[in-house]
Amino acid sequence: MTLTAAAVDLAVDLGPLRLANPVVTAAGTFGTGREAAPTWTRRASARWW
Amino acid sequence: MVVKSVTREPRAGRPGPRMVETPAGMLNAIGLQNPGVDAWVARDLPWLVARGVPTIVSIAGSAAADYGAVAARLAGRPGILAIEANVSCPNVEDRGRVFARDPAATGAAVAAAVAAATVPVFVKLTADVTDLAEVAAAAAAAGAAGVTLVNTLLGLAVDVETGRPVLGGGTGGLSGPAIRPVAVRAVAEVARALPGLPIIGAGGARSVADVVEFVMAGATAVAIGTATFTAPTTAADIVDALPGWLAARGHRRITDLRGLALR
Repeated sequence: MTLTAAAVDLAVDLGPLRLANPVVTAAGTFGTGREAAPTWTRRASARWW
Repeated sequence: MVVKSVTREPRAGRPGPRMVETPAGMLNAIGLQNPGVDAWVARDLPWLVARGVPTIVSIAGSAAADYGAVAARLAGRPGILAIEANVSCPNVEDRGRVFARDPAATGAAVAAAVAAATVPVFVKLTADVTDLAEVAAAAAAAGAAGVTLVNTLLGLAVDVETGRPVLGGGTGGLSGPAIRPVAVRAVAEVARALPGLPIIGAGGARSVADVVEFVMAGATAVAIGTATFTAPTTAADIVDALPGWLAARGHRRITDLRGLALR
């Protein structure tokens, strides 16, 4: 049976932290969030993560 | 998201120009411009909390005690998942040399942050050292929950018409795809030496394949940085595309790939 994308588990345990997926933004490249928000809200699926 | 570094006091940062493109990357010398931790807590943190953004706060300082002071100001605040200590800063107690170049200085900064923090403390290290695993081990011994590998590599660009450095601050941090193999090597080196220490890989990743490469080298999570400047939604786009990429190759869980290249 073919594996579907929906069945893939992206969650990771980063030490004591449980993250929904392994991707984070790097310090300094995203400001404090507010600066980047306009470009993100123009995204088709407007969500942070 | 990991926010831009905050310090005890507000900082104006370095004079311009602050950024210059280089082959497959860029140099930057921002100089830790930020409003200071008190203003950040009052103004920026509520904005993030209101949107439910899982936030890792990068902190920086000029002396080990600064890391403790900033961590104390963040203690108990809602919405903060973790702290990331940026130790690629000049240490005024060590002739201005950066904390990250020395295991003891790195350990002191981490210990100060851990003592005051109410959340896990990660530490972002530089590859500009002789023995990265030794610095990572010192950070772990001081209580770091994990390490981010790597910060920018120190670089210099000279304007050959004026004979002066291009950046107002002189030297700058090199980031982008140009440093990715260095970052992947650093991740593998520390993952081998300290198998139990969680690693956030950082350095030039801009695609699903790049993220997977870092994971295969031993990273648990991967930071997207410089790619954001040309494509602001890169991080979210990768999250959207990652399941399909893994499914097409029969991988059910991303964690199954961690450290594959080390076996």
